[in-house]
Amino acid sequence: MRLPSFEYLEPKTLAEACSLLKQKDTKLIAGGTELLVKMKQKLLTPKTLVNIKKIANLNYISYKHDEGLEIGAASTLHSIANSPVVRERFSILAQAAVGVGKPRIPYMATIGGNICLDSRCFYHNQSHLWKPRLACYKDGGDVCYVVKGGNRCHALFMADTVPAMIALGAKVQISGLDGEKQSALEELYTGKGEKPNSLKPGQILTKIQVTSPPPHTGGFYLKYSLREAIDFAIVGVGVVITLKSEDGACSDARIVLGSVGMSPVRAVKAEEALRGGEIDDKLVEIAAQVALKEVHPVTHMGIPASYKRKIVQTLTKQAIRQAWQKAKSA
Amino acid sequence: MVNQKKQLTIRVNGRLHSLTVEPNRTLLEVLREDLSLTGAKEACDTGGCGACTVLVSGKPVYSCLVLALDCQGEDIITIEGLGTDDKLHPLQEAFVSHGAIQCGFCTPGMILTAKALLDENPNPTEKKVRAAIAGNICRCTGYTKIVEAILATTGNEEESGYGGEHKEAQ
Repeated sequence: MRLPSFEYLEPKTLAEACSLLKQKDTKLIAGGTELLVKMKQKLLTPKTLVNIKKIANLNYISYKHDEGLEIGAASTLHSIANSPVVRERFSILAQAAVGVGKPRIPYMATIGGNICLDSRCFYHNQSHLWKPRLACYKDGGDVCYVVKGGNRCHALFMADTVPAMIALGAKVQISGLDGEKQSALEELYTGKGEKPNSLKPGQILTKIQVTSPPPHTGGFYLKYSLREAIDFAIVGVGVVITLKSEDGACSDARIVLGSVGMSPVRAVKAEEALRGGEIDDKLVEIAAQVALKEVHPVTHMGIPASYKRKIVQTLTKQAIRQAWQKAKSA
Repeated sequence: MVNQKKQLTIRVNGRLHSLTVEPNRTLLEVLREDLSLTGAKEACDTGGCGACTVLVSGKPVYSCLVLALDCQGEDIITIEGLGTDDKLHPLQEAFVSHGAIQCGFCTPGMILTAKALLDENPNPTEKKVRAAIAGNICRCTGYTKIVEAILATTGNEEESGYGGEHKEAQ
């Protein structure tokens, strides 16, 4: 498959890049592991690609004890997964980053790209030769092939690092021609399969910030996929738990699920079930059951909804247990 | 201007090349078509099979998903850069002697991936070898002989538990 023709621009400053990205038919390229596939399938045919890898200060990982972690959006997933400070203090992020299209994609892909990953569906992510004649919602039409007679797009948001970062309470910085703004990572997501994030043309994600977790905090990310390597998650769960003391009650919990909906889902009721309680196997069981009620998977990409529900329950249980163990020994 | 050719300087297998390429050429296309280095293969062309694997500054990458122009100034190793006509690289020797090659299509990618692994970790366990080649799909061999061959070059054939049987079969 040949890539369609395009103009290739390599701005040296953020302002230049933002200005170029406001133009029609222009897309940003960083790692390119999602964009180039879509261009080969002729799902996207931008006339101009803007390479942001030459812009200074987008590729770094820095940590200050009182401020926390700061990562440039163009940092590769490999550099994040192998960073000693990420592995030691924010291990849930290292776990999530190493699993994205492992073992090779992390060398090439960036965290910004994973955050801005487009939603996916068997019927959308195909070359134009394969596609059914009537366009689906995501392709601008008014049909859904996942849910017959459905009235919305069911394309799934499947990025691995996002549930992990939302569980860490991450914030992101977005640059545009009208300046910079900060927002909680979870506010970036729309819940709409057609366009999962709210970035507008001309806006570039520049950095991710995570404040240092309080003492007795542990996090764990689990990914269930058909194969151990390469695949996107069928279900991904990121859990971060904070205890009042080494053996104390749970003072905070964040449980975030990926690949179960059109955006990452925070299981807020399951979090409440854990908060304030003394964690034991029974409470973990209850929390996992509550989390299951907060997601509504449909049969999608060859996976029956009933199976997906079982995986959500089991994986959530395992992730909570693991995060709890880590919090106890933190 | 759309698709205007640009200057590209890359070092491939130790030799410096100065090319002019259009932006929409991937590294895989340039290696195969402009430099006649057809060891890297186009199979899935979407970053999911590893047949296009080459080493860019020591890192194994899917060259089908790398724009050639993004490799300005980089050091690239393809399978043609390993061994010579007279003397094969130890990994190539091991693949041949262990029967790790059937149709041979995955082999260049497998060997380069193994080289990248061994350059970083000269004594991997079998588990680590399997994890490293997890991004390279083989339709023929079932991977057993490939893993044996890679471990054989480290002197750790016993690690896989297959080494004894292999020696007896001779």
